[in-house]
Amino acid sequence: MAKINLLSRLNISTQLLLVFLAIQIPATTGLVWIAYTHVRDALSIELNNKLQSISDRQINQINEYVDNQLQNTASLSQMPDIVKSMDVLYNLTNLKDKVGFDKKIADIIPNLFTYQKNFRVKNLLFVSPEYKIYCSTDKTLADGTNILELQAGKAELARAAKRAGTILQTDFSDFTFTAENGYPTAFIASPVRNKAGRFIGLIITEIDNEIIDKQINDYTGLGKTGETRIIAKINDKNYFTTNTRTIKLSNQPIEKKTKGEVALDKAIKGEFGFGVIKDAQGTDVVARWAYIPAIRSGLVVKIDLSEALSPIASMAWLLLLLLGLSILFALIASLLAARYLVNNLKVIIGATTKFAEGKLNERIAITQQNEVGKLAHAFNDMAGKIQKSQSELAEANTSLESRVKERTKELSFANEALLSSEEELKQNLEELQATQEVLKQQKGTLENTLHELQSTQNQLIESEKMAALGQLVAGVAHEINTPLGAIRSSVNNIQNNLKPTLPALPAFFASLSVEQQNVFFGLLEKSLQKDMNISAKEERTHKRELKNYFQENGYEKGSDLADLLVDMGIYNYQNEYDTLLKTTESLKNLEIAHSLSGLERSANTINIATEKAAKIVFALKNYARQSHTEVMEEASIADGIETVLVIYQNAMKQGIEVQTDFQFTGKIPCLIDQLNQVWTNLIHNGLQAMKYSGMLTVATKLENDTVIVSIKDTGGGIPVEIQDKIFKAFFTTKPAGEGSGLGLDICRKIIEKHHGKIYFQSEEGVGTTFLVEIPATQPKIK
Amino acid sequence: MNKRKIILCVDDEPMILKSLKTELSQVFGEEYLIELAESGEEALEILEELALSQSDTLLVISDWLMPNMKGDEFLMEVHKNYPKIGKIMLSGQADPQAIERVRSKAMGAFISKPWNKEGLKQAIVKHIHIA
Repeated sequence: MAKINLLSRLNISTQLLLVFLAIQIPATTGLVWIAYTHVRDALSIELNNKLQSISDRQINQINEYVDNQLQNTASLSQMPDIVKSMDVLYNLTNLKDKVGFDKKIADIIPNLFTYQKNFRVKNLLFVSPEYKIYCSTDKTLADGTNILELQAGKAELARAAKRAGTILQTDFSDFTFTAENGYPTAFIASPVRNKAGRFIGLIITEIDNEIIDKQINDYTGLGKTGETRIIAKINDKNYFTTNTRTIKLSNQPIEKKTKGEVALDKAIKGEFGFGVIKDAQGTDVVARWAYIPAIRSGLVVKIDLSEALSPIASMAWLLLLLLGLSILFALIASLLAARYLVNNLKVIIGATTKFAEGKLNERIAITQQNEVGKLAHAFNDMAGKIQKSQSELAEANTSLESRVKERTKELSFANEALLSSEEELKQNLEELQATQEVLKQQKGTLENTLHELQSTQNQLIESEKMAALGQLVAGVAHEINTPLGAIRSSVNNIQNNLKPTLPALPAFFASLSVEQQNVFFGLLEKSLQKDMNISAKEERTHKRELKNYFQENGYEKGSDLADLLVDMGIYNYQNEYDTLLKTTESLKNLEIAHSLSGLERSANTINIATEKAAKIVFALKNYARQSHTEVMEEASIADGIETVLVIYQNAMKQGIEVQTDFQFTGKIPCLIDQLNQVWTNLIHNGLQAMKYSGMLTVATKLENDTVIVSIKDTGGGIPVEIQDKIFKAFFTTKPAGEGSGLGLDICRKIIEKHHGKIYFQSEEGVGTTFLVEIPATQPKIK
Repeated sequence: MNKRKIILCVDDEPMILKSLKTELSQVFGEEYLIELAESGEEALEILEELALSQSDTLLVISDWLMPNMKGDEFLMEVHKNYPKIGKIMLSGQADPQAIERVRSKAMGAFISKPWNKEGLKQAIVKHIHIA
């Protein structure tokens, strides 16, 4: 359905165009394609025929030359002059007549070059039945050389000679390389017999490869890229035996350039064929390949595919042009047809429009008998009917008007009734005005309430301070009760110590010798110097060492002695108290010394405990001191922070490490109590953010006459989305009841009173640093 | 002859440990050896050593508010590993829920600081006898 809708949206010209194209394009394209494929196939057949005739011609020429050479060599071996000369040389050799032999050779040599020229051979050799060279046109071969001993390029020469000498028939060697040039070459050997039929030597010719070269490098009918290639198998590898159009044989045999040329491989295997393949250089070529038995070589005639296809390419362009033209014609035809159709329709549309505008007399002159004519006829029909019903309507209208007049009268009565209800509306309005008055009064009350609320806020600010204090009280109780416990216990201990020990002292001293007394007092003296900072763990280690010492050295009750000595702060024992401790009374002696020194230890404990309690009380007193004056006094911010930290030390015991770095401890004019409230707030927030576990770093410094306080926690950080809210009043992240949300708002107000600023740096997961800057000198306020 | 019965005191305040040791030695010194530890973790180590050396630990007295392991947590751990040892929590202040935990889950007593000597003594006697 969607397609139909889309089509119906297009105008008629376009619709027609599409239909024309829908018919035109497939038909023309099909025709063009058929024509193209026919031409291509025809071209392919023609090309095959052409390449075949060229390859056939060249194979024939090569065969002819080789046959010729074979016959020539055979003829030479039977030429009477040559047979005679060979016979003479044979006999002179047998007679060992060196002088006669050399003279005969000198006679023969000029003839040798004549034969070479006349018989179109490259080289000519006369060879003895023992395969020794009598003489040769090849300057690389010395006379007298045994050709069976020849190596490398001339090995084929030896092979052909040996075969001809053995089976006494003309023999054609395989192709091989000679040292002199890059052309692979081949040899023909033919046996010579004298009149008696005796084998008296060999005639050997070397074929002239340049002749073959010349024949196959005739490119007639091969266009610009066509060429012929011949390869022979030498030592199991394929080598070009002649130059080609594109590859010139240098002094080195070319093997690599034949590699990968499928046609050459097929040809050398004895196959015949035709096809499009890649040559060894990777070019697409049309090739024909065949085997030439006469020279045991493969032959490939090829032409580059691009050249072979060039006639089709130009034809393809022509066909495309035709295709384009036919589409263009289709376009023009469809446009003309559409315009004719549309013009007819436009007449009908024009009439319809005029009719719709009210010209009911409009009719169409019918000029055609087709569908357009029928449409015009239908329109005229319809127009007539409408004109008729229109006049009927006009009549009905007139009667309607009189009825409307009647109705209007009725309506004016109803209107009067409405006017009376307007009175009621006025009354309602008055009531509304009265209500408004009441609302105004209520607004006044609300304004009062707002004032009250504002004063309540101030009270809340105060109570926030007390709430923070309240949270502290529980911890402070522990801090004070701990020293109190130690004090009470120590006082008890002193009393209990003295009661049994004092009465026994005179008798005890009397029982001691003078030396023992001296040692005893030495022991007491040492004990009174006890280091009070030693830990329980260290004491246990000392006790264990002492106990071991005593047990190893035969003291009685070593374990008890060790316990008492360590209690007294004596950790090393080198028999200095032996006179007291290595007796039967050792334990009693030491217990009395322990009791007496215990008085000192208890007194020490009381001292420490008292100091501690006093410190807490002092801090609390500082903290709680209420100063309602807003007059700034000189005070140290660092001391204030210290006080707050003392109060919080209990809360921080469980896992908070505090680092302080007070670079500035001087006094500045400030409202110290209010600032302390700020520190309390910030430290308290920090501890809560770290859930009482982490590192709290507090630092002060003076920069540009401004005191900078930083309080850094390693808590979770402040989420970005609430960072701009935290200084606002009543904003809190704490559960209901724990924080009023006024803390940081109050802090900000206090800092603003000092003309300073408070801000923070926070990274989620790393922590938050609150920074407070307060000018070291405050403007005078009177 | 070794005293093999042991009372172990645990408090992060050395002054409390010292005065406790003196006090307990005066009362129980004839019978018991008083050992001291400055944290719950240290105390657990000592308990393990003592168990290996055949010593007989009979009672543990612990503060509540200490760094890391708190008193109730420590005493519950003691109760789990050594159910026969008597337990007393001695603290200047403790969370009511913590005190309740020590009473119900560790069968221990709670005595607040500053303590009364007689009260502590009676609690020790009572809890040692339970063991």
